[in-house]
Amino acid sequence: MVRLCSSDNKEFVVDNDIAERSILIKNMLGDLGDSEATIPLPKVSGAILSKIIEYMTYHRNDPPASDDDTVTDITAWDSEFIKLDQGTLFEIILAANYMDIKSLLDLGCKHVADMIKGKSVEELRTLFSIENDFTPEEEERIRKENSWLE
Amino acid sequence: MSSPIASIPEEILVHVLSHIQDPIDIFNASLTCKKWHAILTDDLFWKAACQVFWGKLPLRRLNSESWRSEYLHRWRYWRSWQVKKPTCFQVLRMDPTWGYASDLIVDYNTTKANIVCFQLGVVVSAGLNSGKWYKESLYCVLNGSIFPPSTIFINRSNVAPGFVSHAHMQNLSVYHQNWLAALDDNGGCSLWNMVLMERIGFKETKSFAPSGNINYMKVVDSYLILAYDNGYIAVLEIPLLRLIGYSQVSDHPIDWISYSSRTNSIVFYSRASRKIGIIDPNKAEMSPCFLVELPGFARSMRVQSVDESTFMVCVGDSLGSVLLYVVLKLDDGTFKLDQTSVYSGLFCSIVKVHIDCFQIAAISENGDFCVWEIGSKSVLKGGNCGYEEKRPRSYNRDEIFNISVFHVWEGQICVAYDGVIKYWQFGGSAEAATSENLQSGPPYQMVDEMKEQMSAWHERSRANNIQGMTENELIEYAIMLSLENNESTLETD
Repeated sequence: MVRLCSSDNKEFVVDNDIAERSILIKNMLGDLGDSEATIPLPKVSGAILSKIIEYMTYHRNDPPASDDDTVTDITAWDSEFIKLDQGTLFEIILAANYMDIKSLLDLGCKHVADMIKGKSVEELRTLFSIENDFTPEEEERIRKENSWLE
Repeated sequence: MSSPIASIPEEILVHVLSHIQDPIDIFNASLTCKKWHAILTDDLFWKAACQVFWGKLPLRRLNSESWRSEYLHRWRYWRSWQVKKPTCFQVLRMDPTWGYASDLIVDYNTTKANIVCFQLGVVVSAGLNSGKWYKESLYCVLNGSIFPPSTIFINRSNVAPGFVSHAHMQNLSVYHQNWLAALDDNGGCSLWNMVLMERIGFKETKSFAPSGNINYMKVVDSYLILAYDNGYIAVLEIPLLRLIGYSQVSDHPIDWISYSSRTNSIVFYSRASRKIGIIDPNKAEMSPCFLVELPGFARSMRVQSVDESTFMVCVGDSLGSVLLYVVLKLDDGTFKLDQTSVYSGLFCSIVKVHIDCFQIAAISENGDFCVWEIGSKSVLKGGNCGYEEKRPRSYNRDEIFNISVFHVWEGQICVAYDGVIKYWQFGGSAEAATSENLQSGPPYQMVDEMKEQMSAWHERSRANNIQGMTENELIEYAIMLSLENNESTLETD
């Protein structure tokens, strides 16, 4: 069993094989030897960590990620799991990057790409609350420079 | 107004955004704000996007200026094969008197003026969209002359000196709708300019390789390359067919030659030794560098340049595998095998392979074909060239197609077998070909350009001292002069 401690000092006790879905934890456990020490995760909040543990528990029996794995399909469970509000989604992406969970990072990125798919510029700005800092002239100029699309 | 996406570090944002696939979406995203515009127009983003989309590429750009153009090229290729149901767009029936098609040059941008070169010495163009042969483009290469369609009598200057034969041409090679090289059965080799309809050069080829006959000839770029059945290769410079060099590169007959123009390398294959070798025509001794000995017998080989020092050799073997060799030309002019990879998916002897910068395609004896993406090895498209007959995918002796031509380009396939040429579209850029492209015959507009070239050659030969010329050179010179006299009578349509 491994004890994981979030940034807001919430503790989670999980099985080793679950925790080791995270390459960061796996490496730390390797460095620490067999110790029962608590692993601090200062960049991850308790709420996010519990979501991530949910993900790692569901995927505990997946074959270990390899470098040359081909693109895996998103399962129904994954697509339900990743339906989150934007705040949580981006925190999950950051945490997956920090904790080195490649499949979760890919899932998050693909979900964001799906959100962007087929949207107009205005729709994208509204979707992500992005402030338009182009002047109308600049925007017009860039639109005209889109020759690389042809 | 809070913006969660604004809080994530740029390095991770790049990774997230690199999962967008469609270039239109990427473009729209780049217009949202300055930060995103900066990220999405940086070439590092496009490199990341290539990696995400195509996984473990040999991370080297294939023939592109930037990662952005690499991505856009690859995307277009990938898209062009995504249409599920192919359309057999055109079936062209060949005249049985022409013999089998032996070569096909397709301009897929216009789908016009495609030259098919038949073994019996007929060269003819067709419009793949219109499905018609251009009657006025029918050239007959017989008796040492090229007969343009409108010529009722044979122009004297077309007849090879001392040429006596009624047999058909042994070999023909066409390059870019400009050059046609043909070999007569006395070993005389003639080179025609197809636009001017004039014979530009003539050379006796017996003397280069004592007691050898020509197995294969190819006219490419600025060379005419001859391969002999006694292992000799001779390289001549076009248009005047000046001999650059010849040497014996093998103890066995040379069966095919391919040429990589950007690295200036000649690749040859000998079926008897199963060896692929390379020579550099610029090196005086032309000593061969042997690349590999193939595990099986090859029936087709193609070469594609990547850049000025790299090219790919693609071979389809009798066991159904397509082998891809990436070769480096080193600074000292020697060659080094860089990478070897195998593309599988076909199950019987491969008759033709095709390669360009982004894809490899092969067709096997039973008509099954496969198109792969170079690097990712994923199959872009697979199928059988006899679709409508619902041919079985298993190997069956009765189902063997006599495939002589196979050509692939961005979602389009051309294959010639059993007396027909079939042309398929899988979507892609095929619709770019408009009906107005289909009406015109051979590209006569090139005549002016050709005339300029001719006068440049003429200047060059004038600079040569006539006194020092050999007999052959004098003949060439005479032909040049006669061309000059004919120039004023050329019609520019």
